Amino acid sequence: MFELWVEKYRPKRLKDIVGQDEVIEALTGFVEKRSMPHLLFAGPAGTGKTTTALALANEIYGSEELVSANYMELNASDERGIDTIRVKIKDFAKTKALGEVPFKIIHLDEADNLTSDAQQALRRIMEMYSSNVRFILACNYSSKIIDPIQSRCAVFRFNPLTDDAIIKRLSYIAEQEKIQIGDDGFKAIAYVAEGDLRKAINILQTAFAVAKGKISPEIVYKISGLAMPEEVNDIIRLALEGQFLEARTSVRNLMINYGISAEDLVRQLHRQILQYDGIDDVKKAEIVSYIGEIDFRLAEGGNGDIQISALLSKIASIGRGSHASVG
Amino acid sequence: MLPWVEKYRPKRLKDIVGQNEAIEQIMKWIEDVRAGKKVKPLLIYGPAGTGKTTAAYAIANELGYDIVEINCADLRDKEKLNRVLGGLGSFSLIEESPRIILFDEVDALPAEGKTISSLLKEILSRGDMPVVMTANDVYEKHMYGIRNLADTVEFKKLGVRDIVKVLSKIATMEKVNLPEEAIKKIASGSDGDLRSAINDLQSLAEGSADLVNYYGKIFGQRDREADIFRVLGSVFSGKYCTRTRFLTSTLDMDQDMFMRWIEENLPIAIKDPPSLSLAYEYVSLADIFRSRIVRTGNWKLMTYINEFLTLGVCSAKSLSKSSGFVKFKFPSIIKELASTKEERAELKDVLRKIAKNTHTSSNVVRKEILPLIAALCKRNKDLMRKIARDIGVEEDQLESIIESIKI
Repeated sequence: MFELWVEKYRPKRLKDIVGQDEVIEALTGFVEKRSMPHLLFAGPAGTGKTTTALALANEIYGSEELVSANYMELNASDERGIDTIRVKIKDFAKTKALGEVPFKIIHLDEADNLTSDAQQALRRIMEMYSSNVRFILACNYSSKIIDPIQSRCAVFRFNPLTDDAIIKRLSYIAEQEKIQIGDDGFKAIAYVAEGDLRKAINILQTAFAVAKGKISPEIVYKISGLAMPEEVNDIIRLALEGQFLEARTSVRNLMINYGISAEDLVRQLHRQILQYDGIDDVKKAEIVSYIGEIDFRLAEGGNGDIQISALLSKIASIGRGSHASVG
Repeated sequence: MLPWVEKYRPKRLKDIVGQNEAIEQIMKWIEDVRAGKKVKPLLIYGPAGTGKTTAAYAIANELGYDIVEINCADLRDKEKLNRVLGGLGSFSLIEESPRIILFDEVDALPAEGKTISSLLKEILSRGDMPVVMTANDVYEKHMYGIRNLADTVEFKKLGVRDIVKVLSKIATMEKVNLPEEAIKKIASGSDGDLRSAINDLQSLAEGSADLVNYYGKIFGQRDREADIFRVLGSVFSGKYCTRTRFLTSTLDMDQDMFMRWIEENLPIAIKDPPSLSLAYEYVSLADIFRSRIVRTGNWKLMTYINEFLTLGVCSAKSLSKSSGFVKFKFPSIIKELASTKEERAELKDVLRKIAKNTHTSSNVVRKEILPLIAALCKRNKDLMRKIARDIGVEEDQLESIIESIKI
């Protein structure tokens, strides 16, 4: 997939990774000694966790062939549960490492998406194969990883990249690809990327593919609001006007046909409500408090479309100025 | 007259549709058998009607072996099991062509499941008969032992396109004249089960079912509606609410479905926003309780779900001023989810494949990478072809997904 700049410009060596100097220094030591403990990489999206794991494997194994034989990547949120993960790990781990290498590496991404029961099972799996396999677990929040796993790993924190670091990397890519983009364009990308370099590079390339000529801040904002702010605003307007059925139909359409997740939709509704002109602050505050409640219910495992419909009916009711409540 | 599922059952592995990866894996296994290597039992698993048993027979055919089929649903009592064991033991006394043993539906075995493991181990220790097993689900707990002993091969649900292809071919061979629409309808209604699709095709063609009847079967559940309408009528009457909680006990419907019926009809029966919002709050709570029960296994909480959906919703209606005749509707979201199931499954599959190739998750792909690929490919069909090849999906599959993205 070298058509994608995130792949094309992914650093191959540890020293080329930007913005994580302390982490890189420590890991370089592991490469020199050709020995390492299990690792836990914690940090927000797009800060270099996967790239670092890949670069580490590259430097330890030395050749592409050995990397593909001895390095396996799994994504916890894309696998069918801990049982499938166990089977894959087992199949990979039980064969001897290929070539003159000290151990195999399994990189398990989004490990914090595993339930604590699944993490307990993972802990046992880690122990079972620790003689010839090192695990690199990656997560957004290390607090969501159970203590027994944390205590078996060396924990490394990845910081969100500064706007300057992001713009520096974007400028390099822009130069290589001969893109027309000014300071305002770079700043806009850094603003919407919020410290996520992968997102920044994806936006840069998408903007380049869409823009005819120079990349303007307008294009950048348009692309990054991919769940279409106008549609979200329409839904809010419909609900406030009491056209509940129409609002519910739009929500279902976004979720079923466009695959937008309930969590993302709630986040967007939240953002748009705060900017919405047609309602006073008292109502805004009340709606926001209910959005928070629905966000929590979703995290508890609620059904996306039911919970968001409940939210819409609340917005409709608050919009009218009078409402009943359960509590 | 021979059932078409038998008549058109593929004899060769290469004629089995829609399972390319699995067939490749099986071919390797066959080569090992041919080379006289000691092989693990082959465990073919996947949904019904995807070709598992057909594959087992085709394997025997490719090898030129006889096949001994043992249906595991018959092995439930000890006596039969012993008879089978005894029977197998006698095989080695007679010199004849080599055999392959097929254990069909191993997941139908009783949960204690030790019997099959010991049987398997015995056969394996003799090492002279290759074993093939089929199962629907191998991730059930009691399948753990068997799964570990075997080489697993996954058969996937068939896509609508593949099923349409097979049905059209059979229709031509049988000189059946059916509109393309009907064939598509059968295919999409079969939920990836080719056997049921072929059976439906045959019953349609032989006039044992007419089209109207057929569509009725898919969208039907008519006998159920009479009941649910009565319950909805009481709940949305807004009267005697405490009593409505008993109504669901005679309703032949699971609680999730009942929740969908209530939710669909809330905004039709209750118009004023405050009451509607209150009613929705109860449905939202019912939904959350459902999830809590699943997570904690605390089934006592079930009673609250029922009361939220009946007493709660009814009480909200009692506050509402709206009245008049209400025509209740079937939960449209169920239909929508069912009719877009195929597309959503395809999208999920493509997202995962791209995720594997970009070291990310399907979530990131959906949000960042798919829009980018769409932007790149809309101007450049060659690039689309290349990307489709790189990630291992059909061109038209990727194209239809890209077209659905606005950029």
